[in-house]
Parts: sequence; structure tokens; C-alpha cells
Amino acid sequence: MEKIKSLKSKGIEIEEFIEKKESICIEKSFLGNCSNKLSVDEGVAYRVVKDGKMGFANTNSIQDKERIFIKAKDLCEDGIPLNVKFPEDSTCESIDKYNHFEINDVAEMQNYFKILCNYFKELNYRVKLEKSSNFRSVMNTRNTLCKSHDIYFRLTFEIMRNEFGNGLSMFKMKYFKENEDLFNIAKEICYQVNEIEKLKRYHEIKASMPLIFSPQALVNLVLSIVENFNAKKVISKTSIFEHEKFEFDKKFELYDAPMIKNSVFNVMFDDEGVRTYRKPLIKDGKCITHFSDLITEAKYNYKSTGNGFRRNGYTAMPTPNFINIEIKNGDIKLDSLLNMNNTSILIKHIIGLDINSLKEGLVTGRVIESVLYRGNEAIGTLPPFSLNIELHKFFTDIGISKEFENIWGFMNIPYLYKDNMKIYL
Amino acid sequence: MIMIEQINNLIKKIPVEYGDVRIEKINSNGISYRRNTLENLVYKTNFGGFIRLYDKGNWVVGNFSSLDNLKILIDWLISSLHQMKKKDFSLESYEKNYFIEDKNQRQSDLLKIKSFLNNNIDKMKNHNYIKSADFIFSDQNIEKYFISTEGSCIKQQFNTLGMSFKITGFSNRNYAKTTIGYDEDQIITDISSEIEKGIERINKKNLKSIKPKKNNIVLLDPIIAGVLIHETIGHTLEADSLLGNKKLYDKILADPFIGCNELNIVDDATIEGLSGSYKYDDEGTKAKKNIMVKDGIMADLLSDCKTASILGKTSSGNARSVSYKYLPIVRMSNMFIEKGSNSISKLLSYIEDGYYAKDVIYGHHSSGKFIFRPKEFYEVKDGVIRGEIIPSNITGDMSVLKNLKIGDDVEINNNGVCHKGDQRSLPISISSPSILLKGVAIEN
Repeated sequence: MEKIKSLKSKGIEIEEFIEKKESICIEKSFLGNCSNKLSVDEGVAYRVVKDGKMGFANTNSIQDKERIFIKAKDLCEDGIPLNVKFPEDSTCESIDKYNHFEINDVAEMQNYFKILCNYFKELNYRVKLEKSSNFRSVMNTRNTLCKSHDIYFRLTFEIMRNEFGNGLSMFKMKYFKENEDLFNIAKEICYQVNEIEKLKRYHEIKASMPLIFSPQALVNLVLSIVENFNAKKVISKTSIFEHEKFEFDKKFELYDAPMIKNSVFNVMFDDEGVRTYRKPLIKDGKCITHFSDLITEAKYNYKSTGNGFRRNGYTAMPTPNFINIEIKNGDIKLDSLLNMNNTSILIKHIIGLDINSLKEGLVTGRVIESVLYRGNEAIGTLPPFSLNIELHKFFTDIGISKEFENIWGFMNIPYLYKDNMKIYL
Repeated sequence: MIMIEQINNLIKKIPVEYGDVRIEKINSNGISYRRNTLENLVYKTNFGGFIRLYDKGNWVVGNFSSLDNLKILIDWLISSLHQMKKKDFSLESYEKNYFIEDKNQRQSDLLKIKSFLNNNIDKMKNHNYIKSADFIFSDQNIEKYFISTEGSCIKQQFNTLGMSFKITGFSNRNYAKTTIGYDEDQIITDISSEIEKGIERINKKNLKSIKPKKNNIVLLDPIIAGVLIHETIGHTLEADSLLGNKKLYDKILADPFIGCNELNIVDDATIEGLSGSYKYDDEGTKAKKNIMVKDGIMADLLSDCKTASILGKTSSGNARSVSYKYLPIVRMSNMFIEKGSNSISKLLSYIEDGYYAKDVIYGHHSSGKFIFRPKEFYEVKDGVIRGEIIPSNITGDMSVLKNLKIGDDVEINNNGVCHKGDQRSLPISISSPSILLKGVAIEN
């Protein structure tokens, strides 16, 4: 803190962002080849504001940071006309000292991986296990100092298409914090594979059936909506809400929150040192809040909501981004949702949902993992099929389950019931 | 040279059968405008590297961002190797090369570029049908080092300037273009003419759309034709792609005719001054001219050291990575499709009722099927190019490439980038003539 204050001269404000990332990644391909990749990366970025203009410079040589600071200061002269006000007196330190991964961590990961492969030895699969360490600190000349350090695991597991005999595949990506969770997840995957293998393979399907979307299947639909709560998009009228009138069920509540259950990305402050807080994006069927950063605040006078994040790390300036996403779970058990009809389909995985191809509110996705249910009993797997989804009406007339899952480490999503959607084989 | 010595000293001490270190030092300047507003003015420096170690049949790899990190990483990697079971694979052969390049680094005049872009933003404001314009300019000076336990020591330098823009009209039509080069003034001249073209094109009104139709005949200009051949034949003849798809490999070995007999394709990284040029690839192998297709028949595959060893050959010098964070994989460099014998008027005369496609928005090939969308699309009746229509997708399968007709014109597209797996935007160039395609579908 003292060092950054010593850089300060009259009329300038400085922000220093430091990031250190390490990862240990072990992967086994479908062909059985194993690869080990270790990575150590770090970088520093400066934003300097003088006379309402901002300069930005960054490097991954932290030793070189004073030269980079001078570059950012020089760039101010002809810089970006942005009178960003860095936050004042924001302090949040969750660590005292940053520690690198050690040799033991590498050896431990290799042991975990061996055990993991033993769980799956009967299958034709691809698996990747990663342990990541992310450190970041934000400091500015207005007495702000925030530091955080997170360590988490990611397991990616995939069974090749056609392995189940009818074009069905299985894909799982799980984030977790504790070592012990790894083997519970592996056991759960094996259980699910065994259950699917016991089921009959259906090759035909009715054109219209009640559908239940799993949390994994909903991910891209939810993200398509959430990304449009970016205040910058809203102000510049490029949000999808500008072109389509969206309707949301009164039961559907969507939140952006710094702390949610099972998230590995819980954060107390954003990459600009602004405190994060829980905010409803959709409530009572209406859009409530948008998320913004300090640049949006300076440009459009839209106060920062603590959502300034550097999704590409220190190399880019922060932009408005969500933190953790939570859809409020309902009060109906998944079993009851399944029991609502004689037959229904549980959709587990959809690919190819491209929001950019949104035409008159319509997006098309390909379901590559789904199970046919009679009541709440799984009776068969289905071949891949296509779904046309009217995105602007998708979240209306829905049932929401009590159960929810954490997806990709930052989203808590329940199961969602939709009646009679058209299916194309 | 101090750094080369430091790395040499470090890797010499590593107790492994083989090891190599790649390092990139990048200094760059950039400006970006988004929706008519200066959004970023940035200076960046980057130092990073990738290390690969081989011992007793196992490879371990890692990336780092400082020499201190490299020391930590080496300890991790050695520990990782010690944990692995010995395997009966033998190490492929790696060339030993020495090459040191020492050019002056060029620094572009950011204020000159900024003023040029400001003038263009003002120019856009004079056209009431233009909603906004985005510009991105970057100037990169890259030093690439390669040092191996075999004794290779290579330093190469690359200086590239790139400028791209996108103009969006109130009609939501847009026009985008990227120009890559080595000279600031040249880039400004090239992009200026493209901006003029963009301003004119997005004001085109009332283009009619066409209904989907099977079995069409389409004349492709050199830009879209080059991208088609790059995506279909080019990627298929990368050894890692083909070795990973045994069915397709066996099929091509059984029937190596993959194009018409006038089709000749070469990949050549040694031609200086093009986007895909280099002297040594990212495994330290000397770049070569590689014949991929001769008279319509597959001649050879592009390879890196590993895939070449599986094929019982030496590497074609095509191991490339997009940055120090990635493993090198087999990639094209500068692709040259030889011109044919047909004049453009002759190619047009084959079209009674068909289309003419110019430039490309996107192109993709997967499992033998391709899909391309041109930037400009025209109807052709009785050999004459008629009115412009709304671009549609052109789709087909690889078999249509056997019936190509090749033009006698050639144009170099030096602004290309190639995506493969998670390694996106690798600079490449494609030189191609116009090509007549038969039996393709038009889809919306």
C-alpha cells in the first residue's frame, strides 16, 4: 500500500491489479494417452487516471511493474476520456501470504488421478482433473486494498457418443473445493453410467411431450439471459431485451450473488475493489437490476454494483460481469414433477444453443443426453433430438423443483418443468 | 543472449532424455474504439514460455511466465515424471539447429493511428444510415526463442500490425474487415479503401433472399475458395487430424484422389513476408515447402515430430502454437493453391442458373461436410453476373471437390487466422484462384 502511495503524484489516481494463477492438470484421452500439464502464470495491470483521462498498461513480468506503471501514466496524456473514481477505503484481505503449489501437490494429484481412473476402468472415457490456485489483489491510491486466494478442483468426464448404443453421450463437469469430494463425484458418475446402461434404448420418440430440464441442460439458456443484464449492453441498447419482449413466470427468481452454496467462485469484492452484494436480476416476473462496473459508472452515471471483473485476467480492463448465479428453487420435489404425467422426458444435456442465431425469439438446440420416464421411473434412453426453444417465453408456465445443483462452480440451478414442447428427430 | 545462456544452463542440468523450452517476449501497443468511442489505449509486455520434458517413455509439459517460475516448474515436472510408470515408447527425432535473428524492433506511432481512427469515426457521422463503428489496432513485436537439450538454439523475430473494423448500420447490416501487415502506412491505405467499401455496402437496400435449393453451381472468388480448400482439404491433411480418424485415413489411402486433377496444393512457411511465415517451427524444425496435393492426389501430410515418427517420416516443420501457453500442434502456414487453366469468363460460361460468392463471413468443415457463408452473393444467369442477393450458406460434402474447375487468376489473402481445437486465431495466409463448385446446396 505504501509503495503505491509513493507512486502517486499530484492529480493522479492509480489502481494496481495483480493476479497469480497456478494449475496442475492431468488428462486421459479417449485413446488412453495421459498428459500432465503444469502452469504458473502471473501479471500486473495499472490504470492511471489524470484530468479525466485514463491510461492502461499491463505485463506478466511483475519485476517490470514500475516501467509498466510509467507507460500507463504516459498513456493518460492522450488516454481514454474516462473519469473513473476508484473506490475509497475498501479493505478486504482473506490471506496473509501467497503460497505456491508444492511438489507434494503434484504427487497428490497424480495419486488422485490413478484412483480416479480405477473407478472408470470398465468404460471408454476421457477424463481431466485440474487443481487451480487463483490469487488476486486490487490496490489503489484511495486506500483500497483487497486480496483473495482460492484453490479449487475441476473434474471433466466424458463418455463418447454412441457408447450407449443410440448416439447418446455423457458429459460431466464438476467444480469442488475439498479433495474428498472427488471420489464421491466419481462414485456418482459410475452409478449414473450403470443406471443408464440398464435402461432400454429407444430409437423413436413422440413429437411433443412434457419435458423436465436438468440444471446442466439449462446452463446455456440461463447464461443467454443473464449476459443481457450487463448495464453496458442495456444502456447501449444491444441487450436482447431491446429486440424481444421477454416474459418470466412470477415463480422465476434470478439472483446475482457473491456467496452461494457450493460455489468455488464466492467473492467479497470485484476486480476493481468494489464490495459485492446479492441482487435480484428477475423477481415477480420483472427485470429488477442490471450489473455494472466503475467504467459504466463513469461513462453513464450508473453506479457500480460490484460487478467489474476481468474475465481475461490482468490483460484486459474490467467489464460488467455476473459473479454467481442463483435461480431460486421451488417447493415441488423432482419426483413430483416427474409424476405429474404418465410419460415425460428428462433432458440432461443440450448442445449447440447459439444465442447469436436468435431469430424472432427462437433458438435451436440438440439434446444429446435424455431419459424417458414413466411416472418417476426411468424406463429408457432416447436418441439425440432437436428442440426449438422460444427463449422469450421459455421461463413462463414452468414448474421449479426443490432440488438444485451447482453447475460449473458458479450457478445454482433447479430442475425446470415445461409442458409440451416440439421435438425434432 | 544472456537469457539463452541462463536457459541453456538450466535445462542442461535436468536429468531427462530430452527437453525443450520455448519462450516468447512480446511488446505491444493497441487502440480500440467501440461504438464510436475510444475504449482502450493500451501498452502490454508479455514474457512467457513452455517447457516439455521426456523421460522413459513419458512426456510432461508446463508453461511459465518468468525464469523464477521456470525453476519452480522444473522441480514440479521432474517430480511428476518420477511418479509415472516407465513406458515402452521411443523418443521421436528432433533437429539440432542454430539460428539467431537480430532485427530492430519497430514502434508504431500510436498518435498517428489514433488521429486516423478519429477522422474515420467523424466520417461515419456524416452518413445517417450508420449506427456505429468499432476499430481495433494492434502492433506486436515478438521475439521467439527455442532451446533444447539436443543443442538447438533459435531466436526469431516477428513484427506484425493488425487493424480490423466493423461498421453497423441502423438496418443492422454490418461490414467487417481485418488487415494484417508490416507497414503502418500500408495498413492505413488498405483499411481506408475497405472502410469506403463498407460505408457503401451497408447502405445497399432491398436485397432479395433466395429459397433453399439443392444441387447448385457456384463460382467462388479466390478468398472464399481459399478458405474452402483450407478448411476441407487443408485440415484433413494435417497428420494429427487424419491419424486420429482411422476410418477417414484408410478411406483416403484407398482412394487418394481428393480433388480434381488440376488441383495442386503446397504449404510453404519459408516465403518471407506472409502472415504464416517462419524459419523454424515451435519444435525447432526448419520450415520447408511441403507438397500436400499433386494433380488432385494426396501427396503428403503436414506433421510435427510426433506424428511424423508415427508415419515413419521426418517432421514437415508444421508444429505451431498460438502462444507460449499451448503445446505445438500440426498447423498450416502459407497455403498456395496453384492456378488452373480456366479464365473467369469460361468459368462463368458453365453457369446457366447459379451463383457467384465473394469473400467469406465464416467457413467450417466437420465429418466430411462443409458449410460456408459468403460476404457477397450474386445470382448468375446464362453466364452473366446479375443482381446481388442476401448471402446464404453454401453446404456440401467433400466429394464435390473432385469436380472442381479452377480459375487462372490468383489472389493472396494475407489476413487469415485459423482455429483448431482450443488454439484460436493463428496467423496464416492462403493464395488461391477462383473455383467453380458443382452439386452444392444453398441453405438459409
